[in-house]
Amino acid sequence: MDLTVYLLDTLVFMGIFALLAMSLNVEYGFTGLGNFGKVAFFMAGAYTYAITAALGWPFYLCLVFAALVAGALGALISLPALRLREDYLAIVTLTFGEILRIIIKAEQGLAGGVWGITIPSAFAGLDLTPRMTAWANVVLVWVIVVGVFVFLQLLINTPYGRVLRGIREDDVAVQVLGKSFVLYKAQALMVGSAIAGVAGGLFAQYLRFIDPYMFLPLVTFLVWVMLILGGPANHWGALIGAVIVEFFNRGSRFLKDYLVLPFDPNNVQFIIFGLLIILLLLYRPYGLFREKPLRTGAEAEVLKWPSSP
Amino acid sequence: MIDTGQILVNSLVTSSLYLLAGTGLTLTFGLSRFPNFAYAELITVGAFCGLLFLAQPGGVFVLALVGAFLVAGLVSASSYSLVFQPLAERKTSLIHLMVASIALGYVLRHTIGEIWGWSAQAYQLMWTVYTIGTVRISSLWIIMIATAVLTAVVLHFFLTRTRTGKAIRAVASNPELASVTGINKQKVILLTWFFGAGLAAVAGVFRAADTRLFPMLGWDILLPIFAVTILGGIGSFYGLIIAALLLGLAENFGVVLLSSIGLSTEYRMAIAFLILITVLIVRPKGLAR
Amino acid sequence: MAILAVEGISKSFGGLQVLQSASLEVAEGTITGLVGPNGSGKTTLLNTIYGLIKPDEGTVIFRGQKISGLAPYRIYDAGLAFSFQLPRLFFQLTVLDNLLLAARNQVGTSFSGALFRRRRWRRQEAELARKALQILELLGLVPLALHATGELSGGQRKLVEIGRALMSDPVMILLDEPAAGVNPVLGRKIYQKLRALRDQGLTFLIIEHKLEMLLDFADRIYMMDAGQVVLSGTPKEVIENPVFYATYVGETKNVTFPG
Repeated sequence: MDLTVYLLDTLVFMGIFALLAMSLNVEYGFTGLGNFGKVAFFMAGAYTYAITAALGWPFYLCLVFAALVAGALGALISLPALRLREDYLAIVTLTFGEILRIIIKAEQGLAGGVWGITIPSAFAGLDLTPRMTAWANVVLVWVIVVGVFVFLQLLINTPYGRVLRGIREDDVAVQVLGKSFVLYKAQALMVGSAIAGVAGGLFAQYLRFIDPYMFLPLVTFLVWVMLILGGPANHWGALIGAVIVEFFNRGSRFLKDYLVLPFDPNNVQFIIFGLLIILLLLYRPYGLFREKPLRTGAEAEVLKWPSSP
Repeated sequence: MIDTGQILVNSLVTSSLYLLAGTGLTLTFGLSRFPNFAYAELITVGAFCGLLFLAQPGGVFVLALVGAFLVAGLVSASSYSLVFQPLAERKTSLIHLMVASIALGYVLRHTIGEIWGWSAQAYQLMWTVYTIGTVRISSLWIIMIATAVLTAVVLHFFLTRTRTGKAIRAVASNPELASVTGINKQKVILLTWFFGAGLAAVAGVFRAADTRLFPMLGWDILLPIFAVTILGGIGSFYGLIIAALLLGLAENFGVVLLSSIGLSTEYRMAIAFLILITVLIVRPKGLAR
Repeated sequence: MAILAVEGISKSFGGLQVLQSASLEVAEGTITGLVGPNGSGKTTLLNTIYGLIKPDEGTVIFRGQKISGLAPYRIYDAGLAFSFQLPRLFFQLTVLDNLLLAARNQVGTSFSGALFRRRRWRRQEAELARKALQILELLGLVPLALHATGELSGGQRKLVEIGRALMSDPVMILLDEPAAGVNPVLGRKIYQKLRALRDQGLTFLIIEHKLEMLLDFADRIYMMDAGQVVLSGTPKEVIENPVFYATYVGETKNVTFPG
């Protein structure tokens, strides 16, 4: 196997998962919403991309549509979920992922059911070598990662981001201070889901074949590992968490494919991830990167204040 | 032609499974105030312990049940002491507790996958099938139903007649009640984590004996088990009995209905999901409260 | 003219009747105290006024508008502010951010405003920050402005809780034991500030166990017992009423009498 293509492949996956980790960061890291069905929105984006691409839409429109459909699903799930307690929200989102997979599996006519669906490459018309296609994918994915990163930094370091953080800490107190938390939570779920939808679209476009078995709850778990390892409420944390976890995740597949080991590296990997999460939650719940204080310009006023130390 | 008798029997079997698997979840959910997602894997641990014990010389089904009960109970109780109690002492958020339980589930599931592999296996057991009229029922099903009924009766007496049982019921079904005087709360919680997981493991052995076993066995029935837990009212054992009966009926009649209107029987799980969502919207406290 | 009228509020939890047709009126521009033994329903009444608890019966009228049944954020819109008995701060946010979150009519708190009206809200942030610092100056918290509230002591947290209520430019504030947990000197300072604000036209309804504070600062007192409002009048009238002492028999531990 071409080592360069392998590395580029890993970079693409790191980017896709960085998007998922950042999307969970909006929901969980900043707003405190425990979305345990991240894979559902990822899957919705992937299948939307697959179906619209099959209609002959250009890839950017497919991506936008993937974001819209996943975002709309996020809004839909927010309707019953947001008035619920945290534990119920967790159960509802988790089971929603299972149900969406069941629907795709059962409805053969929609997108191939269990047999999966093939997707045209975004770069099909350009007549590229495999290595150039891999490069093109890396650029496409990471341009979007950088775009989303900048967008989220702009969104979070605002009074809006302050309200989200307030909701994470105490949603009743936010209500008392004049902000309806339902609206904010719904928006956070929509934004998070839309980003996950884009990630799903990129995933489908890159692999050019998807089936329901690619969207197991395992994906959600990986995203949580990334965020908790990297550091919730810190976009750098989400990004670097995704890079680290995906390095090991792709690496374990590589080991499995090319080496004969007395154990299955994939099993060992998940045992280690599971133990890692438990240890992190016990001893370092803020992960590698701590949350940064909000920067809206207000903090600068404190330093100008006469009596400030 | 719909065979109502057969569907009723099937429903009863399903309900027995959910009752056994859900008892521990609802009681620990009530006591420790968070849903332990690793319950899925405790069911699976039970199923594979059954496989292990049946493979021993002289391995009979009863031994498999008892062995699975003890091993899963120990796994559950030690996970409480080593992971969840320390987290609770650190005033960890509810979401962190849930994430930790999911992480524990992955540790258990992939350990099982590493030891036994990911392909489906089966117990080497034969069951007698009786035919009463048009209704077919296997000896395994009779044992399952009997075990569930026996568990319900024993637990009823335990929860209403003993001090520990009353304490469990009081604390589990009253979120406001932080502690009951005169009982050792930690001991009660640990006991519940042990016995609840034991029952879940028994459910796992039954499930494996009735179908096949693989590392996702528990995860595949986690959704209906959450549905009965929430439908019954978290922490309520009696609510759970009613909810398990209702969901058993809904699923088995629902499957017939689904195929009669041309939908895939894959949607069996969707029935549990629909019930779950409806309960959460209409009556989030569940039936019992 | 009453700015706030509470009429016949009843509330029971399970079988326990916590409020029994409780009624009171608060005149505009006054400090009105609410006293009563522990468990008499004061905090429940305050929470009910602010929409945190739904009453079984009764109405709350604020400035001629019925506010009972409204969500807390609508009641905030009407010009009422609320301060919790036990501070419910955003513990990972700074003191400054805790105050800024309470500010009214912010351009940048909406999704589109945050993204598309950056210059507007950045200017507003600077103004609001100066306003917050004035409040913090008064509460002696300026040196802690950029510290996370989770690092603060109990008394300091209480001050931030009051600061948040002041930050929203309310017409009236509901305060649940503003001086609890802060040292007596600072407690008096808080009340002196509240009085100064009252003189500027603000109205207060305050739950308070420290009767000497109410004697010195309150214009009027209501006393609750067993879910009902049983006495009302000037502080002196209420304290001299025999019913007052009868109610507090066995409750002396929770009340500091003046003198």
